[in-house]
Amino acid sequence: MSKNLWELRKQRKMTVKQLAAKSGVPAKNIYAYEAGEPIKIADLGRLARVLYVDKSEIKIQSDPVPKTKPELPKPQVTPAPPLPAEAKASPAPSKSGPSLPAKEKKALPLQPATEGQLHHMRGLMEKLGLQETAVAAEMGKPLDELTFMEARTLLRSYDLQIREQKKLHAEQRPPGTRRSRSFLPEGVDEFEVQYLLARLEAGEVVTLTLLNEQSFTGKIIGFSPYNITIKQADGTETTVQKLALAYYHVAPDAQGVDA
Amino acid sequence: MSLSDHIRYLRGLQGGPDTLIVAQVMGLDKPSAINLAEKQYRPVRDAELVAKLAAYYGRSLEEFQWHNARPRKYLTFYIARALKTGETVTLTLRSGRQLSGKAKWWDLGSVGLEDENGHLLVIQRHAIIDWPGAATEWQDV
Repeated sequence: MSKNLWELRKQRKMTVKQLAAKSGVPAKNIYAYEAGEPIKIADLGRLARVLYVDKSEIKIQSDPVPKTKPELPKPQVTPAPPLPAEAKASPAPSKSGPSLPAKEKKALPLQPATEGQLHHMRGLMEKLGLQETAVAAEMGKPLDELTFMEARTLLRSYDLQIREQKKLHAEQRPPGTRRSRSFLPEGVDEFEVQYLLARLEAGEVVTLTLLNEQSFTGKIIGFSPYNITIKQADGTETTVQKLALAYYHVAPDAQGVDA
Repeated sequence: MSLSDHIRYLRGLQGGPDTLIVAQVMGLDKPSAINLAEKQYRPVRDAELVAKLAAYYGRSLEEFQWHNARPRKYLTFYIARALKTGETVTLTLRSGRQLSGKAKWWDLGSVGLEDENGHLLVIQRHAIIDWPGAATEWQDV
């Protein structure tokens, strides 16, 4: 269940300035986010860390903060005499100086979604298995007619959904595996790392055979993607570069325990 | 052994000079082509580069072409097929030694092979120089 940013901040008993200082997100951005502007993905992580919540627990677009003004004693007002109809329609005269026409808030033209946003959105929809017609029906208009802000909000929510999916996949992975297999299985050295780690933890003796058939036998005391270090029976520590290594196995007298 | 592994090995034998130096000696502007040739999983298609590399390392062009016909990707195909079918794998190492057994796994740098005694050998992929059908079976893949 996600919560508004301002709710979480207040729960932590923090001011906007404190949150800004701790998260590194500018205070003006936090004010904007709390006022309802969608939170940038980069800022979402920072805020979540400081608020000790998961990113998914913060609403991307906060509801406006409810205004709770302290109740002041109402002044005694004597009812004004009824005004003629014309006067009622005209704006109330200013207390100071002559009456000026009230400033009308200029409505900003709604920017349409950019091509890049739409392209990115279609890509994410494909990943999430969403049909464009369904999304259009939900939004009440075709994707091409979305505004910049609508597209931005949608993109953020899709991005969050994809992150959630990835997180779920990571949780479902078998224990001991770091990540799902990449497109190129050659890109992962998982099996060898697991093998070496098991030998290292069990303190087993291995025999390393080099390209020139020279052999070294000892306990593995460390390894990296490029080399293996063993401690031989006489206490000598030898680091063998994998480029010089042909193959290795658990030493014959220690066999029967290798996986 | 793929040409990629072979040229890395030869550079290692020279004391591991930077590819920038190798490129300069070979008369190349940048080492990027050499870097890519050392990394890639498929054959190096630039015949001129292969010839230049062979000349730089003082080896015959035929030797380089032989290695180039056995890229890492084809070894992957061979091991992956063996894992699927359970066929016995025979791998020839640079030293000439032949190792046989059932493939148990493979990854970035090695192949796990169970020998006839049930012992697991971890063979470094760059040490594998040849295998059955290496240069003929996957040319069109």
